Amino acid sequence: MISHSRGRWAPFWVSLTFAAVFILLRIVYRLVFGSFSWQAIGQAASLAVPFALVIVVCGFLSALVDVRKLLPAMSALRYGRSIGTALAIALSSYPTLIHQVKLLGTARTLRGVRSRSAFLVPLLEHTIERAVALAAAMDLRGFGAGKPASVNDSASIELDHFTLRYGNKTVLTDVTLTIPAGEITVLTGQTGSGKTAVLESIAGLSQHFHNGQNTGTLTVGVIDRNLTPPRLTAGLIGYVGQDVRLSFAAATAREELEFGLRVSGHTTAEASNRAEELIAQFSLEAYADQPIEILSAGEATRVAIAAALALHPRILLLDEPLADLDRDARAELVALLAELQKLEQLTIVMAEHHTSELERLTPQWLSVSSGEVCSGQWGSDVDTLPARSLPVVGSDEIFQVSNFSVVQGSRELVQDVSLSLHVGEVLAITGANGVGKSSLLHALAAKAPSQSICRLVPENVSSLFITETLEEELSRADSLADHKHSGLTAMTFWSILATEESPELLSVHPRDLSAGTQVALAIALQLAWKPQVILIDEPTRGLDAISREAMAEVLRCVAETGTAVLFASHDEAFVSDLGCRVLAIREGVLVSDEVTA
Amino acid sequence: MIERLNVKNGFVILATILAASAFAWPLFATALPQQAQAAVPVVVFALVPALIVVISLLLDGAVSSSKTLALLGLLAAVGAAVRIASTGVGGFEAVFIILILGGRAYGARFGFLLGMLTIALSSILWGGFGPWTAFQMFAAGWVGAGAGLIPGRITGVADKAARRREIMWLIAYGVIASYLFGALMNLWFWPFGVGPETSISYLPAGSLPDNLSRFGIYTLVTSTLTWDTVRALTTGIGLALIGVPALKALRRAKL
Repeated sequence: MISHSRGRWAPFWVSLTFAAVFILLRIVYRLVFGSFSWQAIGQAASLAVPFALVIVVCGFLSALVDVRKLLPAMSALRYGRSIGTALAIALSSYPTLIHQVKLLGTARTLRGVRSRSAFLVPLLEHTIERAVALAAAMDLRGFGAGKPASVNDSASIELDHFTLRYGNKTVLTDVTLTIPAGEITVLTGQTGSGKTAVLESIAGLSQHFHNGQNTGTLTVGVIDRNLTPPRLTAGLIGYVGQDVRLSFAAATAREELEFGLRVSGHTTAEASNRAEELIAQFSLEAYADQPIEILSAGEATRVAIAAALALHPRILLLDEPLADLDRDARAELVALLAELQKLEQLTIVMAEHHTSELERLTPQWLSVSSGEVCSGQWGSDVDTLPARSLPVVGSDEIFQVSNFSVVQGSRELVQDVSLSLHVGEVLAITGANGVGKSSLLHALAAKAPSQSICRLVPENVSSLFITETLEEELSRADSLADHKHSGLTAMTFWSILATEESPELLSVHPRDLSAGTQVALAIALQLAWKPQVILIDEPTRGLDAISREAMAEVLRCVAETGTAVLFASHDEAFVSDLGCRVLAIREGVLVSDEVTA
Repeated sequence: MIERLNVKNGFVILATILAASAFAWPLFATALPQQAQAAVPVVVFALVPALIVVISLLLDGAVSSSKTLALLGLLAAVGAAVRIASTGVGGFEAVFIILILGGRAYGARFGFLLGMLTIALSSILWGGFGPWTAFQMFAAGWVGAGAGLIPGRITGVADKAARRREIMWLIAYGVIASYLFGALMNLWFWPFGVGPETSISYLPAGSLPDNLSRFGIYTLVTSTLTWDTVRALTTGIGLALIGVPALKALRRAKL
């Protein structure tokens, strides 16, 4: 990471180099385009000195002045604030962008793409996604509204015949409901049913940021949401989005909190004091100054909640906060929410699939289905396919490692790994967030004698996608893997998705597919290489109950073809329902898991 | 409101013209009285950074929405990353692709600011601040702004052929801009870059045609045939390879 490793005097050394090159070039020009004499060389060099000095002075000054420290002050100015803010965003997001470039580089290797420019498009796509998420976060924190007024009265939220459309797509239909102040409300429902739309409408993002059109009314206390953009309710509503990392602007948790506070009009000093308070209140001390991209999902969620509560809002909205968390982190978060509701009388509204953990909060349950909301919990009467059992494991061993360790930097994450896989076998690796499951998978992929034997599906599957539509993506996979007959990957994809080929879906951008479909696509893309083993990192990430059932079926289908499946997951319920062999990482050792099963 | 905007645009254009003439100071300084000539480079070095500040303040209000700022900041970071990553092959090449696509997708003002910020950011991160930084900021800003101004811009839904046509325009523009950028950056630097008493030296007392032909040889030999050609090629090829999907990706965000 260039920004961190370079010393303070680097600009000075750079300028010295430039000055030397400058003098040298003057001498060369003099010799090539003038006459040769030793005197001429001396004269050319001495005449070049004044400008060379200017270069060195510039380098010296830029080493002396730390622009990073000046920027917060600049974004607080009356004039030049916008450009100061843009530059601050650019500077603080640079390290995470470099991290993304590395991730995409890895993905490019995993996909077997050679062209370097091929990943400039995914990089731009990721950048746009981040920019939109960041902009929404800025609006929600009151960017451009001056100092937000704090609102003291507890406010209930009321929707009255509220209908929301994006273009000609109706997202919410005639919703009428009341969310009482000071209590916890949980929205349940299938992916794409409109849970997020309810939250975004309460926050005002649907109407004022995503250009949705609505009829009916939505009021928060006395505030009419149709007339009030998100920035004016920053002191009333805190929002934690689905992928919290996407909207992080800064390089560390502390800077993230400070950035949010400055965006909402606080001075640098106020921002740093309040950030310090929040770090203490939410026990973020251990990782407040770590690079933000190495935080675990649980830690990142905690930071996002702290940031959302920075302005003392009365309402907290959370979109699937438990989705990426392991069991311990989920319990911790549920306890935190219970405490916030009890001590500060916060109104908490969240969308969530993991409902069992939330029972102890005794919330008001709402169920969202195709844009309609009714009371009660979703999912109790879902028809699921009768689960099939896994195929019989073959006797041929196709992949085997012994006594090897996974190291990250100087730290040994998992020691002494020995495992073997047989034809058609499914093996799960479990363990809490951050114990090294992903690193183990990456290490195994690298350890395999060739990529033709073993292919990896990384956790952020969208980094594998390099084209604009599902159709192109599928045919690109054929050509990358050199298949004589095109259409093979498409066949794999539709069969593991267990649906009829749908021409509508074929023209969708891969990044716009639902989470489960994206994972299925990534698996199909990697199966195009006909590997003997496929490694999958967190296949159930962000999936609802139905999609998790479907994912289990995907894994069974893959195993039936004889390909061995090794996947990492912290989703114990999924793993035990699947009934496959399980290994767990505990205290840096891979052990066979019969205790929790 | 509209009138105020027009007045502002007028000032932006005025500042741009002033900056452009500052770049060309070697060509008109000879027309000034002898006593004034020595002061010209000093004035130019003070004027260009000052114009950066003026134009930033003038454009500040036009980019105040959170979406524009987030896009501007993140794309500048991508541009800086690309610039720093590709320094090994001559510095400035691949970053033009980002500037041209950004200016094309979000308009001339955005493109100008993107160019300026990309240079500012990479100078902050990598060092390399110098007398040239302000000039580079302007020149890169013009590259981005130009992409938003040339014709053939697609608005709304378009078929594949129209998208390809748009990219052809951009490739042609990218190649021309690459050479122009090199020539412009050479022009203001020329009297400093080459000392006196060579056949390509700037003549403080020379006539305009004489100086122009000397500058022509200087820029042809030192950059047009080398760096500028590499830049034109990488920009053109890069746009041909990723232009269509990249523009589509950028246009997924509606400002």
